[in-house]
Amino acid sequence: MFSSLRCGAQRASSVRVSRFRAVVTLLVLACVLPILPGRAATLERLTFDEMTSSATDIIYGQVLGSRVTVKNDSIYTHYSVQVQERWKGSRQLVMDVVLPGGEAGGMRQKFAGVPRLDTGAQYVMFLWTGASGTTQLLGLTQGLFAVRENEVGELTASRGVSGELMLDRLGKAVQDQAVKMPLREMSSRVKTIAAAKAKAFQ
Amino acid sequence: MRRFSRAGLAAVVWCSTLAPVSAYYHYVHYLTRSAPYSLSQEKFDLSALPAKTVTFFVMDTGPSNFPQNDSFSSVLSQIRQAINTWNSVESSDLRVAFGGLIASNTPPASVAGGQVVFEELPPGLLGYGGPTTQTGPVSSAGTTLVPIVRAVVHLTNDLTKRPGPSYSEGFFLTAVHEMGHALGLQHTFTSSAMSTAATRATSLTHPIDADDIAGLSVLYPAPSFGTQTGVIMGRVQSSGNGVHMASVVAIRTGAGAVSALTNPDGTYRIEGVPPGQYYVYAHPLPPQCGAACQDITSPYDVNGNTVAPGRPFNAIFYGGTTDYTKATVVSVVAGSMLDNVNFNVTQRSDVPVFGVSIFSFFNNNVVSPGYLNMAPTGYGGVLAGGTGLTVNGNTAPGLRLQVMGGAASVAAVQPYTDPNGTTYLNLGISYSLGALTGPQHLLFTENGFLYVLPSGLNLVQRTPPFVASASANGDGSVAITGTGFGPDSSIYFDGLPTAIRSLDDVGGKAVVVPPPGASGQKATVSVFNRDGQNSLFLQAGAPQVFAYGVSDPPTVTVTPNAIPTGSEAAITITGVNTRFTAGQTIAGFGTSDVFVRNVFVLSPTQLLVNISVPARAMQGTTEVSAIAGFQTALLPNGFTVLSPSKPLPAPIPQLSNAVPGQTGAYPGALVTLRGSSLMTANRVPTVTIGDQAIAVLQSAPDQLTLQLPGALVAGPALLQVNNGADSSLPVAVSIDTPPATIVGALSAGSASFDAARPAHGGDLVRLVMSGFADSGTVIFPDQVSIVTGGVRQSAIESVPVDGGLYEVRFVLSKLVPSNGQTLTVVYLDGRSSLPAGLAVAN
Repeated sequence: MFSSLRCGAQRASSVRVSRFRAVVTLLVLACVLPILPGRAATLERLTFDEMTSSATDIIYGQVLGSRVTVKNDSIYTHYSVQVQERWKGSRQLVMDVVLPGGEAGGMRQKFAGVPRLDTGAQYVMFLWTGASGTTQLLGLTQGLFAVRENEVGELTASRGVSGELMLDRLGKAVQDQAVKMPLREMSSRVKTIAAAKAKAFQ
Repeated sequence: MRRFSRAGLAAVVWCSTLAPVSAYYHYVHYLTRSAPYSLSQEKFDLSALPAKTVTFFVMDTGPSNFPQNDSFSSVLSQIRQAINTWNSVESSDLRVAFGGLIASNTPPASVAGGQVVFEELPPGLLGYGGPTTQTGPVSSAGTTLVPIVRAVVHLTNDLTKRPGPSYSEGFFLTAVHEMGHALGLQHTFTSSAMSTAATRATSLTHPIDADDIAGLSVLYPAPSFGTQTGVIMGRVQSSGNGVHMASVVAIRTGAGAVSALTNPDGTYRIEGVPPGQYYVYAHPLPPQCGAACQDITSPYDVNGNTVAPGRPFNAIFYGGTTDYTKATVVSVVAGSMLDNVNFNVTQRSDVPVFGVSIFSFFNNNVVSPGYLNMAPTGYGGVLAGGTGLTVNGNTAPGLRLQVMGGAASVAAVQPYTDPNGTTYLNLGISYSLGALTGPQHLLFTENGFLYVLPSGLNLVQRTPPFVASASANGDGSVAITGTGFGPDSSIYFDGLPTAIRSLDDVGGKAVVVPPPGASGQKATVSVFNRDGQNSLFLQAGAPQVFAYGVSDPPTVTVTPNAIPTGSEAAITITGVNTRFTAGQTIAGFGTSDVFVRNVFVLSPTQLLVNISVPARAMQGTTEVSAIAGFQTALLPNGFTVLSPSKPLPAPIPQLSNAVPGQTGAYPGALVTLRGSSLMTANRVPTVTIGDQAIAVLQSAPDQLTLQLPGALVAGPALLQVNNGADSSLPVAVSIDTPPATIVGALSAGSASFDAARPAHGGDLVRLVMSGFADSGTVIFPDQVSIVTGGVRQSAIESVPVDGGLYEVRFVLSKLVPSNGQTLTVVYLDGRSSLPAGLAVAN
């Protein structure tokens, strides 16, 4: 019902259709040009390729445990993750993954959108280690995939959507998308993308 | 449209003693296992905060990487404005202050406070904020709460990446949003500052919306909160069972929405609803990631475990329809409560539509929410993106769009797939000429599912402003030229507003006085109009900048530079190369244990700062910052909190008029001074202001009544108390100018009211005022009230008359008792005149 206009006489409608098409054309042109934000953001949506490229480490591992540290007024939870498969990055067998928030000294600090990792649970993690040496998840929940067996016993990596405010690289607000794929397929995809990137730099 | 049916609703007078069951988007802990629920929220304990104020500090290391023309000074200005935003909520008792900078080695403070830190964030993460709390409820000052002990906002240290640059509206709104979390607010779905996902519709000129104001006020209600707004209550149920964490929203055309979440039994209570006619709808939360990542932290039960949300359901309006034109409208009255606004919903397995954004395009810049200029044509186009709007590159089957209220309508919808493969919908919007401007709410229905996007589209009547030039005048002012200016325009240099000396909106010219600048700073000049548009819509890629001159770095010294815990004191800050300016200068002492009560700017190089250090304050050395506009002077290790020697008198540096109904501490006034240890047993305290001894009329350990000398000069003055044993540290009090006087009372026909010709209820009364305001001052009616015989009345107008006098005109209330010469006081912005008698008869 929205494929045509519903206003006034036919002649008026056709004029409006014509003008509307002009508006649409302008919008389409505007869409492909570089743009900047007019609003706030918390998360920036990363594509699978971008996550693979940006990550310094991509692992499939199991959470062994956690501890907290306090710096100024901030609490950080350090998760110790046993690497079971490494798809990209260094050769560390156990990674120290830091997430904001946690509990320390009778105090609880929490932030919307920060995942909570369960000891013993298995995850695929897209990790990033910056100049400070701290290893963090890429884009909080975006870089975390829970690994479980599906109904036929196949290991599957998945994550839901984040309701946190997200922008794409061009600054447009976008909605996150759920991801679910077999672990083997994700591994293959990561290695293919990483290899292609490495080749591009040779 | 069905009108509000009183048969189904009961309007009862607000009862402040009701158990708090408002599960707004706060962090909630239930105190009961089952209905009726009572709860506690995570919030600051106002009884433990100095002057009910939480002070935010910014880590002095600042960001490490800036884009061109950006600076730490600009960052500080935006954070300061974000703090001012939350401080401006008058229906909240919580005050929020900017405390300047803090050093990383500062001892932990005993007083709750907030910090903004910059740190290395991984790709995809731009910032986050939240409260640090005790892990369970406690009782304090007669209420149960989970105290927030620290509040933290983390922002990226690389402002070359989003949300930078700091001069952008986006950076400011991010700071507002994260700070809201730190004050105890969770995400909402009403397009307010605290909204999640892509739906936020706030701007620098409208940084918080009705939902944000209600949310903060529910946590920290000021006495006026319950009397100025109404309450909507009810239950959301499915097949007779309550639905937990359903979002219930009260919305009206042309204004923001207010919302609340349901309790586990489906009951809800929306507080803080401004009076008006509302549609009310219940909708499910967008899908969450499960326990691993919840964008709304679920409430905790009595055992400390989280209570999971209920299943998704089909959203509906009150009245049981997805068609708003058939919905039941409810009428909200200030101070009243509507009960039984109930919903029977049908559960489903998913939420098919959510997280919708509306975009407009200006040159090469995209802006959200959408703006449509109604001036040139009767239609326009915007782009919509979000989950569930499209399927395989086409418009989702069955999708229908409406604009609530009839100001505009969706005339056409066409899918558009961008080069990245994301499909949006091009919306052709038509609107009737003469339609009201302002925010428009969009409704999406898809096969029985309703999604409402509040304030997704703004109708405006002019193009965005554009800044063509900014050039210095010889007198320190700056000339701005451009287009799209309006009489309501604000002009900003980075994050700080300028003082507008003149504005020719037709000619596109303005002369402004810029805030004091940092040496060599290049400030981005932007114009903001009340309709939400700003010049960065058109100039985001290349904004106009103004270059401040190069000057020597500012430095400060502090006297005294150490005081003991449990003290009140006035500190003198002396600057070199500083440009301290009244209204634009803050001083901070690097810890929330040193509370800055107020700052007097004595000269461009001297400040007098009243500070308060509680007895429980942590001892140690902190850094001092004095920030005037963009100019920041820092004194590392500049101040020390000492251990107490013995309790000294600690006068709180505020003099209050002791006469009921009178305000102001002016020469000759009778005033009270509060504090601690102001007198000791069997000793008569003495008080001095400057070098003058003050008559102490009454004394108690926590309060003195003083008679101010008539010869005092208006302005700041140092006050000291000796309690008979010890002297306090000097504090600075403000001596006010003498009050206005009522010199005559005239009738509409210019006859004087007197005993022979008294005023009667309903008469127009013209009070002639001396010393009321500076000549030429424009006074608006809402600034003035008149109290006659205890009855408060509103002014019709206040106008200057001959001889530097003003005339205040009002209609005498028939409630004023007939009492011969009835005492009358005129208030201008809360400041009272001297009382005078007005002849009144029935």
